[in-house]
Amino acid sequence: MSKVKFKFDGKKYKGHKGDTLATALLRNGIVHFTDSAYRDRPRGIIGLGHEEANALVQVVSGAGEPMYPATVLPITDGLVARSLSGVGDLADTRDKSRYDKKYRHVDVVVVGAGTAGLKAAGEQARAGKDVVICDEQDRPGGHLVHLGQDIPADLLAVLDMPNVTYLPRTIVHGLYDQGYSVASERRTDHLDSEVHKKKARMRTWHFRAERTILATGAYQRHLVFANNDLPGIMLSHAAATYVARDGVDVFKTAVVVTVDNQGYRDAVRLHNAGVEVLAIADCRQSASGPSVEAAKALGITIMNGKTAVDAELKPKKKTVKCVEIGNLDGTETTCIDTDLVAVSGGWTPTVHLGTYIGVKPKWNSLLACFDYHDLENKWVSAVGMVAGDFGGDDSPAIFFGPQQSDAQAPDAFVDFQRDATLRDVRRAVKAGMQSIEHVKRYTAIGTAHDQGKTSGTITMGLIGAALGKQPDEIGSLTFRSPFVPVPFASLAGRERGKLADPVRRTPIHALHESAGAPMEDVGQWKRPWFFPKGKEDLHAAVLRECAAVRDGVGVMDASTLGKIDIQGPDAAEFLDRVYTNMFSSLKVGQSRYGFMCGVDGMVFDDGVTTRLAENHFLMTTTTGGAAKVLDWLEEWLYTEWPDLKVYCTSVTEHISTVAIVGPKSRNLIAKLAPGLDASNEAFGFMENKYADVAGIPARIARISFSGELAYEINVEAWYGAHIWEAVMREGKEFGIAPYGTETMHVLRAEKGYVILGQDTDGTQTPMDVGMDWIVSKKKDFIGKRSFTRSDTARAGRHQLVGFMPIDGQEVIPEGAYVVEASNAGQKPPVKHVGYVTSSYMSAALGRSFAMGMLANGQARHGEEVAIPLRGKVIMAKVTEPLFFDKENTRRDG
Amino acid sequence: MLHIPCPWCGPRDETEFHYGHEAGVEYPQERELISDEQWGKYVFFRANPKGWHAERWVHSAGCRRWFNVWRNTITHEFGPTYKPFEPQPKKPA
Amino acid sequence: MTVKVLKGAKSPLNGATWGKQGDPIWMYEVPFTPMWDLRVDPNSSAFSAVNAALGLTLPTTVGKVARVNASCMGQPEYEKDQKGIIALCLGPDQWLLTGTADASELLEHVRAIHHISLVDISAQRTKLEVSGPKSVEVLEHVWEQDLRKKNFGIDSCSQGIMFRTPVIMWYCCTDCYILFVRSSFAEHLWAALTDATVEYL
Repeated sequence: MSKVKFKFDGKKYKGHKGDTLATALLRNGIVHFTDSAYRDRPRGIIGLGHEEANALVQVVSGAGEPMYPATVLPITDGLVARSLSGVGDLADTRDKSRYDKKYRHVDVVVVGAGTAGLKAAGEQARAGKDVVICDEQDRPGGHLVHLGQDIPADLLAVLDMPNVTYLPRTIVHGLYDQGYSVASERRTDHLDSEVHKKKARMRTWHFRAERTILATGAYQRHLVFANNDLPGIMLSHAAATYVARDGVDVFKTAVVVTVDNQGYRDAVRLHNAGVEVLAIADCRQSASGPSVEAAKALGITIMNGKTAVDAELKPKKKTVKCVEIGNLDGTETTCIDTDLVAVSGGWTPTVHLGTYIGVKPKWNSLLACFDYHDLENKWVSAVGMVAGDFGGDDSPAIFFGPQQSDAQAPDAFVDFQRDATLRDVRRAVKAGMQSIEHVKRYTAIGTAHDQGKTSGTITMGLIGAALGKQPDEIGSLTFRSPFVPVPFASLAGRERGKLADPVRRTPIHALHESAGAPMEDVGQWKRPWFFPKGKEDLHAAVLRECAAVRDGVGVMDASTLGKIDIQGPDAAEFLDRVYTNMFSSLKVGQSRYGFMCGVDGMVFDDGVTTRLAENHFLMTTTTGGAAKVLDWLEEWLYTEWPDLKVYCTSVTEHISTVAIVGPKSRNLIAKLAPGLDASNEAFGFMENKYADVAGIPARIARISFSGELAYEINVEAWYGAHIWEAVMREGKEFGIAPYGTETMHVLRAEKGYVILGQDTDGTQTPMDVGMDWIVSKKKDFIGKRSFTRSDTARAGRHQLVGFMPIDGQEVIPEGAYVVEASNAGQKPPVKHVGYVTSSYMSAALGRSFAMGMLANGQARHGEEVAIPLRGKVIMAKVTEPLFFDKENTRRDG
Repeated sequence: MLHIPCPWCGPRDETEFHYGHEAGVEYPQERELISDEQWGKYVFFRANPKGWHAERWVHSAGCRRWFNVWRNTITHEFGPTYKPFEPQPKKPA
Repeated sequence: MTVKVLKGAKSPLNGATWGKQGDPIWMYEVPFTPMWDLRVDPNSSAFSAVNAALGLTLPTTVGKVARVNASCMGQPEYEKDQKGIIALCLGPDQWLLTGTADASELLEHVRAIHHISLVDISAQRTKLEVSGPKSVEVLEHVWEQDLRKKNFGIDSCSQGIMFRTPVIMWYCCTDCYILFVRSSFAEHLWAALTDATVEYL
């Protein structure tokens, strides 16, 4: 047996290859493992797997792990772990491990590769189904692995079938609707103490199966008696496995306390492995079966109608010294000195996954547990122990051990991790709680790391005992995923860091990056925020960019705007119905700005739509609204107006748009497109022309979002970067300045143009934002009827206005509330009458300005209002929301 | 993660869909003639049953079509799915 | 002709490649692939006119692909064939057309008479080819949909979400999958795909 070196709580140890940390520590004589989180009581290993409630460690080596049961942590050379009393620490360094995901559609997922799971998988596979078998252990066999027994060859054969995928070291931790399950595979985790570069540490599997077969087995429960938490008191199946299979020889003597025949099986295993079994205390008056006969044949003392009542600690070693055995009512006790108290409180079938989707387990009174016997469900079936098939020689189990007096109850533990006791349960019931869900919340039982794997059923029994009811009258077990704790990183897979969320890039993105522009997130898009020169900050860059546009020419990447190709004989009629303004009157080659409202009459998107041909339009939407608008258009087409002959196609990314803006843009476009007559007479505002720009066929639109003369150059997206470079090159002589979203926002705000979603929030009509002119009186459109609703039509609604700070150097923070000037100095609460939605310092105005909503605002121009901020008040004058070039003299150049 | 039966593509993951609203809510034809209350009912009021609910979804990341489907709001089961203008199948038992 | 590519054209991934033929997995961008979005009512007279003009029968089952004169795009004879048409049925009245032939030319006279929509969307997406014996293994990392051959055999296509990115996938020939990815997402998807190959290369 090769030796593995590891460190635990700062000390060096050796173990056997293949040992779990729990086995290795027991091998090294560590029975007292840690002290409990809340009551500081000495605790030892109690279990064998994920049910472990005491022996939790922080893994320090390798990828690390803040909280992990020692019972399922394999030791590897270089492993460093420390025991936990309570919670572990999150790592303060980046986890360099890889994590990934896989999606697999499959006919059948079998959870558990024990004998029942292998048998079920074989049946399914031989019937021609694709089968995935997930199993938490590193080899098949389930319970047989614990027993150290070989698996029958005919069962193992299924693993070699071509339509079967066997995933060892893989725990299914979630089961959801329509056959969806999620599993976590430890790929390189715990194989060694390294961080692997190419292979994932853990893989999260996402299965979609026609049927999920639960072959999840069962966990053993403990017994509730005074001082039942002392180190050396263990679940009998765990104790027998450590001793008989692993050769742990730390225990010389044992007392077995049981409610079922499992205790006898484990007593026999302990005895055969050389432990002196002093007695079996069976709370049943009589029991029969092969295991009982076997124990009798070995001469083990059997005490019927007896159970453990109390236990005592060896003060120095902090392990159990003796166990007090007595009648179920706690009388006639005798003390037996022993190293090990092996308790068998019955089996709890692992029904967790089924309960995640609301499949209720049923009480099985013969086995004293909740299980899935006779389960009928479209998506899930159960086999083996979880279905109540224990396959053993069991005489019926009974549910409980001793009656504990109130004096004993404070130290009779139900949930070890929460240090919750019988007294806590009794107190909850006395406080009026009867449901398991209430008691759980009152006592915190089942809310720790182990999620009540051992304590859940016990608690229901104890509530029942307190109320004089059967466990199934208390309710049903309900658990929540994940079945075992899983690292968040493993759920994220490779969607971490740069791959966390898609980044959408325009065709010109690389040029913006090399120009040093910081990017702003607009939905998933990255848009250049500003283009700093030298060491300029945002403020300085934006003032310079704004001035450059107003005085010369600037260039902006407008490729992110949503674009929808709309064509068909009824396209114009369709647009008339979805926009508040008229589009059927638009001439071919012209563009028009439009507003769309929801049926509630509130503005929800805007944009410019161009008539490319009689029956062919190109709509632009807001950057963030593209997908939503296309869904909206198609919903009306497909569900309300199927008679309209119209097709909509997204072309957002097919077209790249470069806007050149400013008084010198005409000179620049003339230079870029020599074939174009760019004069105001030949190429008017809102017109479109086709010309080659830098050798590329382009549609040029005279559209302005700044009030300046401006041209938008639209080309196939492959040429976006080429056009940008040409504009920068040819624009040099005009002092061209690239600008980003921030300058765009300032320029449009100076003209009072709203940005939907910034200046509006889905509660404004076109009239509220002062756009009465965009609402057609001649036609019906979506939302029109709502304009005459009493609330929409009432006077005094919040309306868009300008706010001019009296002190032109003060920039009001966006989002600030507006109050009446007379309330300026008032302490809160103060009634607010509006709020600021856009606020900037303006180069063109030489001062700050803002826009926002104000109750009855359109009637209050000229009045003064107050914007109270922490520590100061900004006074501002209410104006119309138009600040620059009020006569629109600049747009024609 | 629901598996939603698209009538054209078959069952697909929920992430490919957007929820619209209750199915079968009629857009009033004589909008200017009906009362504010009737209009308000259309705009703002939707059923929110415990149990079977007829819903309108769009398979936005797939075939991009709108369709209707019965869904049980308690069990998350899906009932029959139907295309726009197809008669509504009976509410599942 | 394939598609007229002028000086200055740049594809979203600049013709990126990853791995090489014969590796367990190899991938590359096929830049400047012509693509059209075709809309026509399959129950209209326009439908047969479209079929006649294209020289194939458009599949009316969503998720099916029809092709004429079009071998696998990865094969050397592909470029030689100038009349290839591949039609992916994306919706009940929607097809993605691609291939070496000029669909707009073929359908010009149909458009003049019938209500159909044919939109050039060549730059809306870019085309990636994912090939090799490990292609399914790699795609399983990023694609939620069923890849089993019994449900997604050769000449099946599907539109969906790949690594949170809108993608049209076409299973073109053995171990060879074609992805049409929205241009703005291409870099993100490429980064994810290349990362997903790391275990197999």
